[in-house]
Amino acid sequence: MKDVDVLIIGGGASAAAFAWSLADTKMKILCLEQGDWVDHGNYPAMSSDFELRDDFSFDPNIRKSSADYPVNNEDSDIAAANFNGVGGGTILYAAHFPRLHPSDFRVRTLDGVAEDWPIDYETLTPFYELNDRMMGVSGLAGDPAYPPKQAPMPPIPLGKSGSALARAYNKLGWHWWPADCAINTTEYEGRDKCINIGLCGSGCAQGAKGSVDVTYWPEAIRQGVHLKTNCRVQEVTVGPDGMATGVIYFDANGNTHRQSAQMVVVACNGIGTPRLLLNSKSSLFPDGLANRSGLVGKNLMFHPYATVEARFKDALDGSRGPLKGIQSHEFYETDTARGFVRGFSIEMHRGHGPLTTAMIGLLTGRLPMGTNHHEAYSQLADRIMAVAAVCEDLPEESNFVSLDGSLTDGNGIPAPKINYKLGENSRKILGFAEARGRELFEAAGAEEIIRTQSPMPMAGWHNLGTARMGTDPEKSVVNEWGRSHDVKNLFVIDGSLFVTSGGVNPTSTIQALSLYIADSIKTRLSNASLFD
Amino acid sequence: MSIKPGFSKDEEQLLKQIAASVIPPSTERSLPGADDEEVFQRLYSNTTDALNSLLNAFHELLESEGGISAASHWKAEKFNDWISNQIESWPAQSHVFFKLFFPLIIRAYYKDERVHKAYNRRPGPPFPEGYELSDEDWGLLEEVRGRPSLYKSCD
Ligand SMILES: Cc1cc2nc3c(=O)[nH]c(=O)nc-3n(C[C@H](O)[C@H](O)[C@H](O)COP(=O)(O)OP(=O)(O)OC[C@H]3O[C@@H](n4cnc5c(N)ncnc54)[C@H](O)[C@@H]3O)c2cc1C
Repeated sequence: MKDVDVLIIGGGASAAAFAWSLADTKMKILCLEQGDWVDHGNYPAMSSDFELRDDFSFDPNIRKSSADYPVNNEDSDIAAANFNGVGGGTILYAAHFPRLHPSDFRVRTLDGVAEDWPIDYETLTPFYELNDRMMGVSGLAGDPAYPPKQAPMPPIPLGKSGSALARAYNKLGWHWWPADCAINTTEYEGRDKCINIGLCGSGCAQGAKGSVDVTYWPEAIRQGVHLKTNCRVQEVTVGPDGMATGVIYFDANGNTHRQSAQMVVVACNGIGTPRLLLNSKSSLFPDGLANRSGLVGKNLMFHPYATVEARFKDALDGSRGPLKGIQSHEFYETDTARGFVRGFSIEMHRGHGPLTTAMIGLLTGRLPMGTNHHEAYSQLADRIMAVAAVCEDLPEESNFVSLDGSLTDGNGIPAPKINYKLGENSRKILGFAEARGRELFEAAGAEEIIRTQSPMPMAGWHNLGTARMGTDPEKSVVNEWGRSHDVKNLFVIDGSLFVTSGGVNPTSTIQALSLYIADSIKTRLSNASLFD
Repeated sequence: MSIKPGFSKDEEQLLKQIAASVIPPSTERSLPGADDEEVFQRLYSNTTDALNSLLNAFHELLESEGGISAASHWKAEKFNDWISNQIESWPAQSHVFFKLFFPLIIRAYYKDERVHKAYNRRPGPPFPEGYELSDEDWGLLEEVRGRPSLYKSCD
């Protein structure tokens, strides 16, 4: 393809929103995605093998499709998770769609740690609202944990699991509210409503979950955006003037191509983006592109999860219904009496399918083999529920993404290595959160706690902070509207931008940010100040 | 007839006997045992990657018990005690074969539609029928509505 105006790398959550927003400029926009469109007819929910499908695992090292790159997790307390294909992580995400709190943008001012964001909640509010409409969000107005907001669809039904938990929250006097979820509870924009398949985490066969392959992408493509699949970008190239000139990428057959562009936008997520920038070395940028601050890849934040699983006497929903339902922000804001700063939200994890239930039973010693097997299983079937605390992780330079010395993807491009140890504050939050999970289940009248994990070792699905935004080029990689401090036609729009992690799932904020950056670009296009 | 290369008829019979002991049939609950032919076929087809390790571990187990003929002789007399010991010592002290076998037989067994039915789950893929989710009592939210703001204002 000839020179394009805008070249987006990656076709996930942020890229789709950004491409759609920019499409009305009528610029020539091309997106290169290393994976393919996902065939909804192949989702696990379509087969009775639905609990056994490694091809929809969230672990790229298990999935090992040609679109995947391996990740070295050896030096990490938490292993990275993702999905590579059109839709990115939204193909597998649980679609829990909370916003950050206003305080999340002011952590330095309020708590004396980390940095403040260069923007605030009010700046993002119109983009949160627009994004909720585009993604199709269900929820309920009136949540005291947030400034006023209104989701376009009513909330997900409580179900038996949600009710059991709600009663426990009320008993303890803790906050709870129906969770905002990008899941249709009514027919919405031509997509059907949720039929409670319960497999949000391995792709929604009904199309009721707002993954961007069914929300933004069709709209963006209709408006003229070109999305090319099976194209893996190896590096972003720069000219002698230090401006990005385009990319070199591999096609499905392993052939390399050059694509030139006026503007390059990186949207490969909090691990893929630093990987690409670090792989884009040149004489002008010997330490990786846009890395004069030395912060590309640094300050990696996950949300460490503390999960508590309990067994109930009576049957709950099992895996019928969306994984998420209600949430609590009782412990979200800092209370120094707790011995740590910041906090966490608590999510409900509704339940498990038959096979997963049996495996958990076996691994936790609740499902003996032999004569008592069936009796024990009947005490577990549809009776396990979990809560997960999504804990705020503070940015620390010692937690970072680097390039692995020997591991490569199918095209020979160096793979990322995760260097991540839980910080002191995160450990304290995890301990406190686990205790609250136990307290909650006790109040819910659970028979017993069967398992706790803090941190949950496989839960590196929120990859944040590795090319953060800020006004100071020494302390950040991009400016307050996503443009690289070092390369004036290079933008980052994904989870890498996060300055702090907050204690909620990030995708709603990631997309609001990418819409806000697209809008900032449009404003500067109109007054010709984009590359100043 | 041996279903998969690598198992003799006697070996497979012994394997089934072990399976029936770890997940026995239940007429009361209308449940097959894990020695059921369908479950076994599934064990083999599910297990393609791990099958070799399972086979090797099984042969090792037999060897440690003095070979298949000794095992079959021995199983007749002490089988129940022997299998109970293996079950009780799982996973830490049990033979490597059992470490592999238990999760694999569970994967094969709990995919079975008869098992799903017995536990009130509609057999077959979740899509396109889906499931019902009760809406329960939203009145529970009354306690939370109207509480003072929980979020910190940053103005
Ligand atoms: C199992 C799971 C559950 C989750 N649940 C939730 C949830 O409930 N709520 C929530 O808010 N978030 C959830 N998430 C996280 C959510 O998916 C991510 O926050 C979101 O997708 C990140 O958006 P992104 O644009 O930063 O990157 P992604 O959506 O990950 O997109 C990046 C894309 O870039 C492509 N790419 C990478 N490198 C290259 C390259 N070199 N060349 C070309 N293409 C490339 C990738 O293939 C991928 O498609 C979950 C994630 C997982 C895996």
